[in-house]
Amino acid sequence: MANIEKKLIEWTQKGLISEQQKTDIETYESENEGHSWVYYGFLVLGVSVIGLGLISIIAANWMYISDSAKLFVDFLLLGTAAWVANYYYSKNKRMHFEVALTGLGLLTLGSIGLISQIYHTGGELYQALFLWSFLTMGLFLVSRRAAFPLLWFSLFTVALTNVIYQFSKVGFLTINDFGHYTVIAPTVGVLAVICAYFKVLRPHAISGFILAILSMLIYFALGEVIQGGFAKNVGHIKYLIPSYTASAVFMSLAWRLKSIDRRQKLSLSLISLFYFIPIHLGELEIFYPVATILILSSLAVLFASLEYKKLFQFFLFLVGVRFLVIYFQIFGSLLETGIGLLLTGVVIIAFVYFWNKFRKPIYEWTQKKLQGN
Amino acid sequence: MKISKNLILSALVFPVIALGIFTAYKKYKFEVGTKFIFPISGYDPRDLLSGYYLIYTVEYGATPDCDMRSRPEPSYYCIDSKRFSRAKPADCSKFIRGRCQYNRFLADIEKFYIPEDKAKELDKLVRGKEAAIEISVQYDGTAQLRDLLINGESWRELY
Repeated sequence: MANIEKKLIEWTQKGLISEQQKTDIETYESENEGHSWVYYGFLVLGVSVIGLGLISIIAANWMYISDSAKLFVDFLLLGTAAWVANYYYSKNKRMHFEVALTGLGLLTLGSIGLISQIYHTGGELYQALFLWSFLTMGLFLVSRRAAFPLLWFSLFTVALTNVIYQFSKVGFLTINDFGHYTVIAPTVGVLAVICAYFKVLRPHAISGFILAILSMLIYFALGEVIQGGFAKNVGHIKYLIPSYTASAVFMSLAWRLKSIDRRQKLSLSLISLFYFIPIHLGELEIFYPVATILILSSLAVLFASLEYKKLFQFFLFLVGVRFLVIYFQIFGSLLETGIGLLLTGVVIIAFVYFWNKFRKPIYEWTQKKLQGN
Repeated sequence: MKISKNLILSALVFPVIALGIFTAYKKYKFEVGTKFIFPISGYDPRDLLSGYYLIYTVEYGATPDCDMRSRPEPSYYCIDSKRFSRAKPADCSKFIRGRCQYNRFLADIEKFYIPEDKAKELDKLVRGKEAAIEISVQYDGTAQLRDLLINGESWRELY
């Protein structure tokens, strides 16, 4: 429950404001959706989990459903998502519009996978991501919240860096020599600065430069998420040096931030060190996802405490993605994983919806009970 | 900044329409063109977007005119004469257009998506060199994969 709602109940009970004033304030706040970013974050996480579940079910390539039936259902879902997004936009429900838009974006990715599967297109994953980036560029441009632009930006970066990886050399060192990491980190950084400059990511109380350094750190975590094996090579000195350097730069910048207190600076510094825990702890593979989830969750909590909405949502989304990767690692079967993800997404959305709907009556009921005692 | 409703509608409808056109184009290539069958040999990895697939080498019955470099420019295989060439063959009624990647000739027909629960079985059959692919070739040389054949029959007939 938001603090404002707790306060309103308290003020009404103490007789500071009337019941009518309480209702008027609640109506004003509900029309202004600015307060509901945590709610939005969880809704997007739920929709993303459902979207990835659908992609996983598609990938299972169930032969007992005919190709035409698969395509029919796919286009029905695409059309429905587009219609729902348009409906919410026309009703001026921006948050729901953004959630539907994210759903449409993920369905578009799933559809590319399905069409590739049915017609056996011979392309690579990065080409599919380029096509997706092109098809959903309009969604990226009309979105006014962080989730979809960040998803778009991340996948576009993956596609772009794959092209760089495949077709270029850096001086006397081939990119193969260093792996993806040394290429992707600065690329993400430069693109983050450009995005921050053009305010695509919307201004935070954080500079574009710090965002670039931050994205390098995100990238190191993402490397582990995507490959699951980054840590297998990361112990090598050529990976450790750039990683420790990035952390050192990140920490020194964190300590210069005037907008955060000492405890928050210390938290930021510790977060950047979490990544190195598994490298120095031993061979157990479970340390790597644990360290990643620790980093991402801590960053989500930190940014929530700093009231950086979009960064909170982004890290919450990444936590979800890491959990999904664990799903893949545990279950193995695409069909079971897909159904598991679909159900998880529905549970997340149902939980958030009911919590949002009934939190006030529950709070009021517990207050009355407490007063009765 | 307020975004116009038409712009929103265009952004929402564009991926749906574009994917519809893309599907129709792929369907057209699938149905139209001359059909050919080539033997294959290979194995099965998977990707997270489209699932399991067989990746294989198409046995054209000739050595490709490729060296150890990747070349973006097109390369050609004449089906009539079973010969590879770097230039478009003038005296060939049916040819496949592809490209050289290292010493392989690729025509975007080297990947066949299969159901997850049949992946191991199909992989064994393909490894046993009993497999072939059916393709459809357009007038401009682009090839579209149509079916995977096991002992001359569609793989679907096995299940």
